[in-house]
Amino acid sequence: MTKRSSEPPNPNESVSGTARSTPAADDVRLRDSLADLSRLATGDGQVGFEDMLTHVAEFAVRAIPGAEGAGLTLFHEHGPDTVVASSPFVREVDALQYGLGEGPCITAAAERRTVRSGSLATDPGWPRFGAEVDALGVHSALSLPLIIRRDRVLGSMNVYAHPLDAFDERAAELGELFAVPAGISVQNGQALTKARRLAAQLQSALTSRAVIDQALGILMSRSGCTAGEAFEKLRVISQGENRKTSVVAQSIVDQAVRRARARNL
Amino acid sequence: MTVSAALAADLRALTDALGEPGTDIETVLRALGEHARVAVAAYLGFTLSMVVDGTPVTMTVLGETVDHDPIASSVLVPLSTAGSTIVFYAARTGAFVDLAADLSWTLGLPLPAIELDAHLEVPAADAGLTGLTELSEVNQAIGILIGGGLTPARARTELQRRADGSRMSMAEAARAVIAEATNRTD
Repeated sequence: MTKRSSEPPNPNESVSGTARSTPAADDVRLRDSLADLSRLATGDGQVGFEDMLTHVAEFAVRAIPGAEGAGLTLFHEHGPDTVVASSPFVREVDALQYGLGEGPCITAAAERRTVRSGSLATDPGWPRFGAEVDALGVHSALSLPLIIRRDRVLGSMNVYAHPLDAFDERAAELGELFAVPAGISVQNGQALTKARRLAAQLQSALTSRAVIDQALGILMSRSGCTAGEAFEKLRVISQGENRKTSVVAQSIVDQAVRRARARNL
Repeated sequence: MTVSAALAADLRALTDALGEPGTDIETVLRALGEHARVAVAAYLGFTLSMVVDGTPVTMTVLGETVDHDPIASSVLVPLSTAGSTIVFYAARTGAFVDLAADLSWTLGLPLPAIELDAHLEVPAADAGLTGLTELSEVNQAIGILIGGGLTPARARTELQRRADGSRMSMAEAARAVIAEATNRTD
């Protein structure tokens, strides 16, 4: 028997509640979610990585019958790293797991398998987590590891619902079908994000370097010294004034520009 | 993944110029390389390119196996509107087909904007950041001209004028300005 919860009604219940979903309707939802997964783009074509992960979680809610909320967690070697959720209650449930160090998400990632529970409060797998999550009124969970190339676990996708026994085998199968391209999208998004980060840092560094080189040029113009000698002068000023080289360089350039502008008035 | 001594030195200098505590550009580069190695079958390396004040700057990092595993596939991905791009290389044909399709949607770009298999020659990877020396020379020359009383915009225009007038590149014109300034006696 499904325990009626006093929690907010499942907004998808009329469409995706397990009592009323059909294989055909499930396939349509999965196909639409997979299609949306492949179209993660804003109007300017630039999607932030956390925004992308949140979209993946939202698509998972649509793809998996019975789902009320979903979260994605990417694991770093020291534990959970990036964590996103489609709803606030998902954050609370995930935070409980990571705080206690136990729960379906952690088991799914550690054991590289789908984990399904229809009664979290009484599930013997996570006694401490079960007792605490019961207070939130969340009773069902479906956690899927995000496994990529070389059998590496990137993280996990976690789907939750308030009713008991919200996820059947069909939901687990659909979740597994969705998790494969979801993992690849996340992995590709990570690669793109890291490449963008490297490019942005190089761009910033080159801009800072440009100011330093211009300051060297100004110093060279004053004394006829070489670039190396000018850099040594800059370094001495920086140490003497206890200011960063780039800050001292900017001051030199600003002062010279002010003089040049005054001269050209 | 091999980061040449020259590239490591350039990255150290740029990290110092950036001046952000806890930031090391070489670490970010290695994280990207490691992630790509896991994500792409037979991954070989990458080339990152950007244009800074009209000067092309590129860096290439290749794995140790590139000498005996020739490049069989590549993918060029635009990174931003500032003209920066990254090319990934792999030793397996078709290694980037799925990645190209995925990123095409993620970036909202038509698929041809992500170039597949157009960079199959092994790039030189023993140099540091190519273009960095030229960029430094140009900015030092601009600084010399600013020191001589020109505003930054006029300094750049003057350098370009000298380059055009002598049919030189900006870097060559910059070297001439530097030589003139450092040979002058007070």
